[in-house]
Amino acid sequence: MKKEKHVAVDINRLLKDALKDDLPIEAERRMKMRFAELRTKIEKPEKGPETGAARFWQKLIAPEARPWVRRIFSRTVLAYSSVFMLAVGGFLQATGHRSALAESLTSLRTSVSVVNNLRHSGFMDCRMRIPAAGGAPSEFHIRWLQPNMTRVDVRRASDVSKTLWITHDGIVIADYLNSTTQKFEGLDQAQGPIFQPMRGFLTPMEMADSLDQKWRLRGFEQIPGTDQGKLMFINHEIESTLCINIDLDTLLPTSLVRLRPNAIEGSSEEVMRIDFGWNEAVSPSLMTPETPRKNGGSQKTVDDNKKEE
Amino acid sequence: MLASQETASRCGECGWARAVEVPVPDDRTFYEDLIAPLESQMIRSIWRVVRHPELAEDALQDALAIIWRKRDLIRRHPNPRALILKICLNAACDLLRKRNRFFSREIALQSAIGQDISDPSEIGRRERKWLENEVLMAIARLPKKQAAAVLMRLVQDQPYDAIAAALGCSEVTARIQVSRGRARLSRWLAHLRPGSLKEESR
Repeated sequence: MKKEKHVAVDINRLLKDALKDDLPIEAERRMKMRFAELRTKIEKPEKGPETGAARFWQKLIAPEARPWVRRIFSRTVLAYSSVFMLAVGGFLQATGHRSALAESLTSLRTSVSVVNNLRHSGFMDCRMRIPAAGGAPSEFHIRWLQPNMTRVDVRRASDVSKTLWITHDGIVIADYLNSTTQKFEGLDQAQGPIFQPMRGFLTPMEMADSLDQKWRLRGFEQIPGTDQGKLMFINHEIESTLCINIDLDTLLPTSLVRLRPNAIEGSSEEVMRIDFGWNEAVSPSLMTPETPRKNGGSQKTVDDNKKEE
Repeated sequence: MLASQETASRCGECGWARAVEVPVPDDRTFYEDLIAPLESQMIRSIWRVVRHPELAEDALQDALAIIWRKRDLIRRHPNPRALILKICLNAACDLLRKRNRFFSREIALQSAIGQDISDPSEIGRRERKWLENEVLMAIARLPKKQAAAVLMRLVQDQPYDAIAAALGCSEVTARIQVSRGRARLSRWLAHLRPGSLKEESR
């Protein structure tokens, strides 16, 4: 009995120590904002736009209209109308008429699901290729490991030239060609054209936000004979089109292609292509930077050091 | 400020359900009476389980959504405050389980290794992170009710009657849940305890 009590006291201490109350100010501020949002919504509930439908609905629920409303929504009428609507729906389906409203709703729902999936993804892996005019294309291998950690390998001519570690504490850039390491507090401080493509792709959440804010949904189509769908977005500011191919089983994007206006996917008009690999197994060597072979580099990884010891 | 709500009740004569107008507090009163006094406690409860700013924010959002959806149930509950805190802990644990599905222990360890090793202060921080991670993974492995009971008792220091009310069980059952959860945790986390206790567990 005494032993059991000793063990219990010990586990209590362990839990209290591991889960101690050390709430950071920033986290507290962000969480308090959620309460403030809820309070605002309670005090000022969002009102929908005063559309014709809203005015019609208000008239329907007005006290003088209630007897009519009751008659309209009586069970018999509802039963007949639902049978009628089913019949009409079946007829339209059979004759192949396509509803523009239904299609736009489907595409909107799919785009929302894709954005949500991006937002909630734990980690993912993608390759981004940016064609260069007349030269070798730049390639980036981005691995989002957790919401606040991203590793980017920058490749030039099949060798890793730079590795970027992006965490909430800052950015560390290992330059293998010049054998230098630099540390920055934020991406804003890291100037240079090489960092430009990474903006908007630092975390899946930022990518989802970028899709939400900058791109307007243009349409959705299913690729015939496959389980793939294609979402088209347009950005009028930079006059560019974005095409996201989606796996319709999981609703996760398989590739993302940015095109010049009026260009066709697969043509040389691609500005950028990203191929996604979702939740692949992570090898233990993932967290150690790859050693470039081009210069006959002699940098050692953590594993090499361990072996020597 | 009171609003009226239709509540179904049985008519004594005919036995049919009928609508009765019962005055209930409105949404603002619900917030001011039940959520506002608990704001700090809710934030801290979630943080102590999740320990990650963005995940904690998500867990709080989930908890608030559930609380708002079930506000009528919470109003009628014998111990609404305990129930609200239990919902927060459940949301935090759910997020913890989701996170664990994506990140194995190795990834968490390696992500720590990937940071600045040359800084000596990093080592202590990394060890602490590892301890936290081990404990959180063990809590996420517990069954839902046991996890809620253990966390309510050990993190929120709730009395057993409040835990029982939040879990919807008797006080004896709540004590059993806490005891079993604690026993499991002590078994799973034996490698983190001092050597004397390891010997006892043998």
